Amino acid sequence: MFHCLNDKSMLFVNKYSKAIIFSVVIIFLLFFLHYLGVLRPIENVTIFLTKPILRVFYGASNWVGGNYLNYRSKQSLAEENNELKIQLVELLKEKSLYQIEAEENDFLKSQINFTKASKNEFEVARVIGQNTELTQNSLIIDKGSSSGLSVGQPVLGEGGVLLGKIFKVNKASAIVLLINDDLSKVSVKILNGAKTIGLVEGEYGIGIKMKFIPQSETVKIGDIVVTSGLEKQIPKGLVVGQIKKINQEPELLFQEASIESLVDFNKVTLVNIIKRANEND
Amino acid sequence: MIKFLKHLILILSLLGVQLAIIPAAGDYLTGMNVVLTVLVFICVAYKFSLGVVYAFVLGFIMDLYSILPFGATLVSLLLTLYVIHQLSLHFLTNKSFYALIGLTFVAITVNSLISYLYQVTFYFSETGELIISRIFVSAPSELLHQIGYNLALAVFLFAIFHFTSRRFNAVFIDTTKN
Repeated sequence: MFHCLNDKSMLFVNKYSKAIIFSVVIIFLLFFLHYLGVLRPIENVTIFLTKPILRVFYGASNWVGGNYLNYRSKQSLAEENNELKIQLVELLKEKSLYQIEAEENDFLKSQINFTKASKNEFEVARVIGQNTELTQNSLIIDKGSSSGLSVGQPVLGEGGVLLGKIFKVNKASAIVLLINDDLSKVSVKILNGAKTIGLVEGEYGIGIKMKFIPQSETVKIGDIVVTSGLEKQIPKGLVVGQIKKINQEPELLFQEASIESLVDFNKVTLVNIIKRANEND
Repeated sequence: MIKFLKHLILILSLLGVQLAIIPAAGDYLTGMNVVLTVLVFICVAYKFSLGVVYAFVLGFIMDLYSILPFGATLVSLLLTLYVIHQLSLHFLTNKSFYALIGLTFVAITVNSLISYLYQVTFYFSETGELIISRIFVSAPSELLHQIGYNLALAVFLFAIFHFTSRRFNAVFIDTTKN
């Protein structure tokens, strides 16, 4: 049995050695013939035959690669688009913040000018809310009795325009009743030659009406209405608005005028409260 | 004749993949040596002699498209096959998945070493500059990529053949019979 195995392995080794020798011979032959140039025709034919196949494969590969790249670039564009959308939202948020800050800045600048000219004692407060109930037209501000606010103090908007009066005070917040509210009443005068006195009341929250204008007084559209100074806490000369429409009925005792405020009550973010009016004002 | 055509189509396809598709496939796949992996597969799953014949034909044609001196690819392929044949003769007992993976791993490593040796020699003969240090910097990561991709290809080939032929099916040796 061992003898048989030895014979077989010897046969395998011989066969294997022959194969190796054969391979080495072929390799040397190929080298030799190649560098002598004898193989040149065979090489040329091989290249001639394989080149179109490689071209087809390369074309196909490029086509697939191109489509893949196209797909990837579309994908990356979509991703980029999403990222840009997110960035846009962020920028819009930032922009709105800047706008709010710019508005506040403008307001503060105008208030500085206004307070410089006036000798009243002021307190600046931020609007933190609005009453949305239909019957009420009021603002909620972030200052209260701890800041020296009390009921009846006038609240001013941009440029010193009267917005309303403090209606209710808490320790750290207060409610401002706007002059267009039905409950609001402010003593005013018209800056005409006669300095006509009257009373401004709110009109269902949608407008301001000046009442008790004597029929004998001459009032024009565009006249400026200011506070009269007859109320204790409200100094004279605070701008309330401008006459927009005059309602003159001959059979009535008094005329009425619709007044347009110079401030949009819905866009107020900062207010100025006169804590103590100057006695000379 | 049909058998010859089958071999011819396979050889041309391998050439097409190795010389036209892989280089255009992108940075990572360029290290893939499809020809060598398929040659190892042929040697393990079929006959070693068939692998050698394939190596001769493919090596010869690839040398025609190579910038290295004629015979470099051919010799490196044959040397690699010789090494894995020696390993399979002396260390492995059967045609298994692990044998295929192990031999592919060795083949890629040996072939890469031979290729690096060629490159160093070739560049030195052309420019008089030794690029050993440069190769030592880039070679390890390239080799790892190459091994990874080629092993993945070997696994893929094994899976295909496992499900379509009986070449890798388990063989039970009956030891109860005399």
